[in-house]
Amino acid sequence: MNRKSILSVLLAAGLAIPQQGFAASHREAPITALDHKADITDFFAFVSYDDPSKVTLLLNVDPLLEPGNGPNYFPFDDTIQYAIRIDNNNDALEDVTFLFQFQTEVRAPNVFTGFVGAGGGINAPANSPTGVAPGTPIVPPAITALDGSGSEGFSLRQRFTITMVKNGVSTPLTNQSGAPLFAVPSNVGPRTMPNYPALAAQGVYNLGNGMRVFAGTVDDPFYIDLGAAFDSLNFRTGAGGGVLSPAQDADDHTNTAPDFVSGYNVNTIAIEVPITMLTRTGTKVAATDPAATIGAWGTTARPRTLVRRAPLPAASSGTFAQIQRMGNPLINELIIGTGYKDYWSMSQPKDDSQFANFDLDPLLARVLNAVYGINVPNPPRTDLLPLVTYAPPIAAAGTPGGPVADLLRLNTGVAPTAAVNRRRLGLLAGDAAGFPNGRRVSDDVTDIAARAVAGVFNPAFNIAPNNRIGDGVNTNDLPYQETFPYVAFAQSGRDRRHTDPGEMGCTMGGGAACPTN
Amino acid sequence: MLAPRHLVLALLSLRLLAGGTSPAEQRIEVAQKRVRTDPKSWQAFNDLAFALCRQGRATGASTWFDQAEAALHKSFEFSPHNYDARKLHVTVLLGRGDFKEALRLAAELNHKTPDDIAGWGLLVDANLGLGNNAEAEKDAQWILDLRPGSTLGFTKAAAVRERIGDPEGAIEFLDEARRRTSPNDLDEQAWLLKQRTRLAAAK
Repeated sequence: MNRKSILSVLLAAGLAIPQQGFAASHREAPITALDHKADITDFFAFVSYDDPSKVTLLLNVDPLLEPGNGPNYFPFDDTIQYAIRIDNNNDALEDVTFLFQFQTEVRAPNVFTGFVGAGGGINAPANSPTGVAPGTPIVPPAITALDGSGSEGFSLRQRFTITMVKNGVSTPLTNQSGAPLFAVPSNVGPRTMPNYPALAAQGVYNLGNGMRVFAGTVDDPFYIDLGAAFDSLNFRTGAGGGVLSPAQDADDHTNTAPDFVSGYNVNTIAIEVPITMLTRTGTKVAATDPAATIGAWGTTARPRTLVRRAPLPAASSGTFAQIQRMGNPLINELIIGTGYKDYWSMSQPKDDSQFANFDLDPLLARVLNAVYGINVPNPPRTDLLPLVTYAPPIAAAGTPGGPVADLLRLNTGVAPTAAVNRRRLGLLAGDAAGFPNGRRVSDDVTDIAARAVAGVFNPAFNIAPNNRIGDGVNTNDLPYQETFPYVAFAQSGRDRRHTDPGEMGCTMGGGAACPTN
Repeated sequence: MLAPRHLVLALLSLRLLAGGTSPAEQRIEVAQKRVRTDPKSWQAFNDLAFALCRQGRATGASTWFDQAEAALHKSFEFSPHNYDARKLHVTVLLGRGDFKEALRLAAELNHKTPDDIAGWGLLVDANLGLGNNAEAEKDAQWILDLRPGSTLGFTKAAAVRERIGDPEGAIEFLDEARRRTSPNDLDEQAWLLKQRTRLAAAK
């Protein structure tokens, strides 16, 4: 290439001169740091506790919502496309998809807060300053309804739509009553929303054909000693320093370390669907049938800015760019390397073989080996394949494994476990309906995932201390519901409590103090 | 944001005030001073290489890239595998028109750190240099998807738009890039403006 043509390329290209210091700004990418609204915190899929003919799927987004954070609280982002995707034929491609989009309405543009109300309403008093006559309504009645009478205090409100895409056909799913679908707002407090559980329950909608939906702000069901975990596994001495005692491990209802998510809310999109609408056979089959196991994941996406404009021939497909995805918990947080996290988030599960080195030789295993001195299996970690392929003990023997793909695999033929027998350690504790066979809201995925990485799926490594690794947080700060949407409704903005190290009431606000060290 | 003609005047004024020294030249002087102060700092040599590459881009003269390469040799001497220097090395190759080798090294860097949009930018340039327009478009689209609204995304996408016959679209993206570039980064502002002017004149 001659000098002139070199220059023309440089002129055209603008010559990339990379700014320096990527290592100091690696969280510049949108997913993990900047785009809170599109940040998926957790994804759940399980056979409904109170109806084994259905599966419940929850997509949680927008982490660590401080319940008192008014005035606008936590609307979903109108520009984001939220999706729950199901693979039912083992190829890691979606066969059934539920798409959710929100629309915000400003009902009282002059009011300074999104939600306001008290009692039967408060009128201007006799000494009202000029311009507003005594008796004029000032504060609307307390919020008791999502629509109609009792909803006057909503200055901001969100509606949402759902589209089911199956076999390439898009079908809008609508409220059987004909009314719009409203997102449930955060729990502002007892004066504004005096009966919040009743208000939130109005947000459970019947979509027909056995489907139900709920979208709104709820208590974050996740629990973890987050501070200790990310302080280079600096777990509390009171919780065995990361290796629980047999007694601590056996007690699913007592925390010996602070739950850093306590007192925080999260936004959830929950949908309950008959199993017959999800499996490839269109029927509910036995757990031993290869068709029983589905793979599920959630995604968030934003409209794209396209290089190529119309009317030039399309070279880029799709009007949305995927921001994040989640199947199994903690994969991106604990397994995928920092320089790959956004690339992973934007990739499709079917292409996950490119990340097989992370999945099947996780650095975390080597960290556990170094920090605790424990023995872990040698790579490639084929013992972890059930998490990333269709394989026993989740899928039935004979199920096609499919490509390495981060999907949350659920054997829909396994009956739900009754509350009294439910174990936080799920499948590891012999509770066949728990993670990694799907994921329930109560499953202790931190302890399960850490133990899985330590090798406990391999019987030779299912020994202490590998099978007692844990953070000491064994339960949530609020009790879960036993019916759809299963998560606890939102914490009160006025009365929420974060349980910190050293504070009394480490377990659901009661019991002993949380250890500091 | 400054209007184009105001920016030109501002740049000219700045050059006059600085005794005829352009912002890129000033950047080189600052980097050279730092190298003299801290002659074993690989970061200082990277800063110098960066400034020299900018000057090479502004003037089109290959001698600046030769000097940048010399600075990078010093950087690698003190930190053999430092990532920033490896990216700048690709820039030097691009500046010299060695697009094949630039593409090979850019792909290697991108494979190791795919979340760094600068690596994708190098891929765009190398692919454009080799005439791989479809690949360049795919890489530019990835930047826009990965980092919506980023200056680099708009700059690279503008280059691709120009290549595929959409100069008006390229101008649109150059304007977006310029809006997002710090007003203190005068040589980048000037570069973007120069590209815009060139495209507008060619219409």
